[in-house]
Amino acid sequence: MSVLYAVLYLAAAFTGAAVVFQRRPINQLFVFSLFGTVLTLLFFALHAPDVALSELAVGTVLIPVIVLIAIMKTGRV
Amino acid sequence: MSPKIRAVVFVISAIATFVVLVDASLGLDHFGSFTGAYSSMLLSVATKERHVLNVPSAVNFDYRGFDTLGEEYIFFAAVLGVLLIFGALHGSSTEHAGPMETREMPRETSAVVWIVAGLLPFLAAMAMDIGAHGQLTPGGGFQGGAVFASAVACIYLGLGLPAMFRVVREHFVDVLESLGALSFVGIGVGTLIATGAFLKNALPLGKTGETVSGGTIYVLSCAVFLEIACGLALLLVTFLKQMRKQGEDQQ
Repeated sequence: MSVLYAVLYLAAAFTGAAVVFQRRPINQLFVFSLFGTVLTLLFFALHAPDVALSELAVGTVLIPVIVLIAIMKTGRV
Repeated sequence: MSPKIRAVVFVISAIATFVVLVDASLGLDHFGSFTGAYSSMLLSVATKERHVLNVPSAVNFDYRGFDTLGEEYIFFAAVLGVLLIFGALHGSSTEHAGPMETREMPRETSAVVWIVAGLLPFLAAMAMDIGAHGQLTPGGGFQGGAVFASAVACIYLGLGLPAMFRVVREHFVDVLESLGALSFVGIGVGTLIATGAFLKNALPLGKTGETVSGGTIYVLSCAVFLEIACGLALLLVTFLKQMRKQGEDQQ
């Protein structure tokens, strides 16, 4: 179990940093979505399925879609 | 500020933050240990008192229902703010009926269309399942509503803008969203009149483990589902409308 925690924490740290270091907004969006997926797994592993469900819907689908629309609108792809 | 000075400031503050962070983490409890009295107390009494199996839902909609009311209205105000800024409700709904249909949309490949069309009913059913069983299994109104809104987003991704506008009728959805927000307060005021306490669980609690159980927890969860699903769908449509407007400007 502790191996799972270690892997998930490291993955969260890695993808979280990757979101910041990715400079192109459109690429950043997909990394952000991946970050949301990792967080979902982490919350689930930490016995917080309610929070994991919220993170799954909001962090991996809705925020990327809305930001995607905003990026398409501003044309700064 | 030159890049060199900026780098020096960053290194200093990064080291300081790191030291404080390590110092703070060393003082933490063991991983997984928790000494808060409130949660262990709720875990032992919630199922007996409120006939629910998922204690977080009992906390959200009953023990700390007032906090959730605040959160609902933060969300409501945020959606309202977006609608006001983009002026989505000023334009008439019939405005996009004509030119929208004729404008040529980029065609998605049929694989995308079929996957989305096949997935949609399952997504919608799953959203309602999550929303309706908040008192039994992890989930509830917020989670269900958010999943439902991602189903709406899938309509756009697979079937395009016109289909999305045809499904999400802004004026209708706006009324539904307000209805969800209003019924939360309505239930609160109703229980205030009936029992003398705001949001007190005054409805029959039902049998533990059945779909309709938990008294007001179930009803409030449904109200939140309506508000979140409709609010997020409205947000999506408002943003998409803005994108379409720009497309017209360029032509």
